[in-house]
Amino acid sequence: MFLGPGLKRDLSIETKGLRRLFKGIPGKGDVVALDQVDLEVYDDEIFGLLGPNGAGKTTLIKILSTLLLPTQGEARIKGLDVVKQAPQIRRMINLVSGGETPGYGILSVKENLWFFSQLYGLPRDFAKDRITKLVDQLELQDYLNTRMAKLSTGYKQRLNLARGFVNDPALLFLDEPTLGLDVISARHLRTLVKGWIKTGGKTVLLTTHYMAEADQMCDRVGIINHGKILACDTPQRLKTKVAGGATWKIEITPNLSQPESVKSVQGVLGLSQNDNIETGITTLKLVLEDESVMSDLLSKIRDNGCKVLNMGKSEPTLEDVYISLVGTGLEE
Amino acid sequence: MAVADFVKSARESFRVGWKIESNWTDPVLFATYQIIRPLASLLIVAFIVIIGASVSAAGSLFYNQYLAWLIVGTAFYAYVLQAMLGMSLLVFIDRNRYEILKNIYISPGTLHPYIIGRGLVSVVNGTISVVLTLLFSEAIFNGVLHMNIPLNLLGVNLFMLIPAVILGIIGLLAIGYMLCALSIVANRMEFILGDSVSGIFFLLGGVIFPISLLPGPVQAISNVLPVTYFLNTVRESFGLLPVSNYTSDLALLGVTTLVALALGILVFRGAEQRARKLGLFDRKSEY
Ligand SMILES: Nc1ncnc2c1ncn2[C@@H]1O[C@H](COP(=O)(O)OP(=O)(O)O)[C@@H](O)[C@H]1O
Ligand SMILES: [Mg+2]
Repeated sequence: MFLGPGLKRDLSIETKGLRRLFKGIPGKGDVVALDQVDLEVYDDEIFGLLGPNGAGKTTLIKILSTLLLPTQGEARIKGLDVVKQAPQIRRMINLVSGGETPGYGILSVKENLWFFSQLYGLPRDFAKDRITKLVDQLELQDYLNTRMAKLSTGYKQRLNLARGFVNDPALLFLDEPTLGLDVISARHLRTLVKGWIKTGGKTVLLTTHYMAEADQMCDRVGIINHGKILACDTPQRLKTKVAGGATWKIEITPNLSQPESVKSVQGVLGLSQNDNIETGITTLKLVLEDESVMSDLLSKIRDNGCKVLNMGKSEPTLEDVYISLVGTGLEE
Repeated sequence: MAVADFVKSARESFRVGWKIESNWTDPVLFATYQIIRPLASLLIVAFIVIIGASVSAAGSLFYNQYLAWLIVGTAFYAYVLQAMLGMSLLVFIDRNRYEILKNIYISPGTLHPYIIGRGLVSVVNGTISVVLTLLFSEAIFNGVLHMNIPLNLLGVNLFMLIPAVILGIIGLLAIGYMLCALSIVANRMEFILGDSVSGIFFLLGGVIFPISLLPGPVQAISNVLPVTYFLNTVRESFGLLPVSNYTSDLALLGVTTLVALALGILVFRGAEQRARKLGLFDRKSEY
């Protein structure tokens, strides 16, 4: 959303110089989970943090949701300090972690949701209405009185998501919410979140390592690696930035025996490699400074003993952005 | 947090705890935990005493008096056992098995109303054990064995008993609070925490023998435990200890309970700070 000059949108999340260390394995140094993170997320925004495993996504969410203290720097939620004003923050937030199924197995879907509605002090009838609504939205109606332990993984995660909405938080943290979710449940979740943000005055901070999810859902995306935010903008603008370079797709067979040798060609900004086991074809995605490196590149590919089957310029995707910033693809 | 909201959260935590912990639906489990276990431990001690009495054969009046003292002590010890074991494992189970601790922690009341609500489940379970143990003892020793033990259940002074039980429960919940706090930060200690603390109270709180039999320095420890004064005031309510000590014992119960509360709050704050520093609210144990 573009707002004219002078119209500043309300900041929902703000971090300054945020740093978090963890004690590493004895003998080795501390692990830097977050390093000088400066972040601004606004009201009415779905903000995505995209990064590989171990990038620091969960650590950031834990700090913002008052579960973990920063080692250095500042973090504010709606202007409130996460260290000193945690109690005021907690009424406004909720957190859903994908792959986890918090709840009591012997209690029903309804009972689990009711428990949390009461932890947030919701009035009786109000809580009942909200639970009914959430259960409808997540298509859990048929399981209302089913014990949580009896639910399939997908439905457990739907319940987990419903729990996240139970206090209608101003700020919802979704930590890899579609991790391990079936396609239908994942689609459900995305629709629900996108619909919810439209109700106004809400903010979603979502972490993911799925490119398409970030691209499709998020108003803005921050790319994070090794605890550092490398770039932060709308998916469209991020793509336009890399499009200044050239993004190429090259199909080869067999795969590269020494990908490093290709990556180190002068002018190659990043490379990802996807093998299709069925066809034996490997797709290389390359982000290049400009096209002049192409001949060097192709000869290096041949040095690897590979045959080029097909090649062409491709529309830049978020993946290309990622490759150009991090140097490798996400799946590696 | 507003008091009304706190009460709401605590009440719902109690309900949930009740559904999870109580074994009503399984009569065998119910009997095992609420009746057989407390009764078994009582009977073991009681029969040792009875055998002792028959061997020494002297002063059966004294032994009957002691037996009543023992029954009341063991019965009310159920409160200690339930609270210590229940509350020391609460965090462990909800963090590891139900993965729910961090979600409770980031709710407005953090863990406070939840711990109190769950602690009250132990209190109700304790009450059931106490009542059943007293009734069964009366039935066995006086009804079946005709031993004429001075255990007058109807003659108990409720005006003395109720304040003693209420204060005692508050003291125990305060200690349980401390155990919760410790188990948040404890590493691989959760399982012995409840057992060791309830064990210490069993030995030093005057459950099965008077603390005057303990060596001097150990008695000093007994004298600062709320459990000691809890059992004293309870026995005084049953007329099994001199009633004249009731007021001072109740005052000491109040003081030690207050100290336990203050300590509980301090320990909890420290543990919470440490847990936020190290990220322990969602720690997954390696075992
Ligand atoms: N409690 C912890 N103790 C030690 N190291 C940790 C702890 N939590 C996270 N880390 C480390 O911090 C880094 C970032 O982790 P995390 O935030 O979980 O990444 P992500 O969620 O992006 O996968 C990783 O290197 C991880 O091993
Ligand atoms: Mg993570």
